[in-house]
Amino acid sequence: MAKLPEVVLGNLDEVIHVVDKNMRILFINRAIEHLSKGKIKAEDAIGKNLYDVFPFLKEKGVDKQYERVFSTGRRLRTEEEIDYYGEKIYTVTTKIPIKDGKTRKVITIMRDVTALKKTEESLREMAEKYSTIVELAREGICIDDENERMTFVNDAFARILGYENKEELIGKKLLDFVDNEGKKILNEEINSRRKNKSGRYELKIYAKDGKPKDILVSSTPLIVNGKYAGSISVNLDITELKKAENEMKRALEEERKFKADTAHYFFNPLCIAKGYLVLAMKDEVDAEQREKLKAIINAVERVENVVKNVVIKGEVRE
Amino acid sequence: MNNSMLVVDDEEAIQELIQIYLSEMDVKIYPALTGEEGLEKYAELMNEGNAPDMVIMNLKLPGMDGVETTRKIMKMNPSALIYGFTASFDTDWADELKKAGAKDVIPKIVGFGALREIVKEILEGEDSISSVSWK
Repeated sequence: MAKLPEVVLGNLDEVIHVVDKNMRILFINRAIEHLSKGKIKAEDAIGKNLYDVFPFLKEKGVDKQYERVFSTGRRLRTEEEIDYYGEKIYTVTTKIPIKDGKTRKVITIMRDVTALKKTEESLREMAEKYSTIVELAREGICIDDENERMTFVNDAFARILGYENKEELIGKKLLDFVDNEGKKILNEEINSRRKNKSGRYELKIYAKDGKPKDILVSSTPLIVNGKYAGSISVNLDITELKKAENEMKRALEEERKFKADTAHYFFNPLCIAKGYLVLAMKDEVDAEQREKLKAIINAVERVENVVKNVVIKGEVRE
Repeated sequence: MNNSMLVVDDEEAIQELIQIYLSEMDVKIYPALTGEEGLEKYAELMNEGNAPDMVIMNLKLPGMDGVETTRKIMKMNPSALIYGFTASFDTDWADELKKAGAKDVIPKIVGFGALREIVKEILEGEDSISSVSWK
């Protein structure tokens, strides 16, 4: 029956082996069989020289590491990228000296961290990808801390605020770029973020050169471990859009005024003229005068129709 | 005389034409050339216990406009029967007049003959004045 430590050691995921000063393997657990995909049997390896079993270790300078542990008597932790039987793996290895006055043996614990490393790599790649997206975005992106100080801004956000160097904005507050009205809006929005509510609002800001700009802000709170840690916002410069909108409003207002004035200044006299003409028709007039009056009324009604079309349809026609 | 009507319009010719066209009806017409004058006249008549049966209200007036005048008359007498009579029909301004309390807005281009028929229907208490369409 196997002893308890052997059972435990045999079932660990980490490869554990013990070598003496001659690099003879005194013990190696079964995890090596899994790591070498069955190419190395633990019982075959015991008694053999470490570098005969793992020839690639010398190429990686592992022999120097063992010499160091034997001579200094201090543990050593290393991270390696190893071409392990045709497969690249990442390991974290700890070499612990076993002392009996002098260091006579070294126990090695090797953990395969390939999966972890690959996850880290893909996370890094993903972060780089998102970082590129953030930097290439036309929208200004800004992250504030819990005290509303900027901790990250992209180039687009720096451009909106008139800064060439985005690093200059780190530590500043958006509150420093708004007037009193803007402060009121921002403070209300900050309170909402603190209550874990997202928001979308328009804000007038003043860039570095004092130039006013209109931005559309979409902001969402950042909650870390259930605690408010700041906010992230996407900011769109809508200054030109606002200008166009105001121009449009002005043009519509002018059109409305033009129509109202046209109606007032044309319809009133036309209405008066027609009113008196109809009365004149009721007077005793001869046939010829009646025909002339009818013609005048007809002419007035034609003008009335033109003005009506201008006012209602915006078209100059009878 | 059975009925009375206040006409608020700054055009004297319009005032005269309304007087002439409605002369065949049994209506006493009180003219007012400004909103302020119209308001004063309405209050005076109301205090005498003779509030006008209806009010004809122009929109564009010197000083207080038709909307404000209507609003103030409605405050004085929420059951006042006010009708707009304006060149600026079919506008947001005309809509404001209705929001202020006017029952409807009659475009001036319907002419005075049609206005007379509309006034007749209103004073006769018709629910609708559809027989004379101006829309």
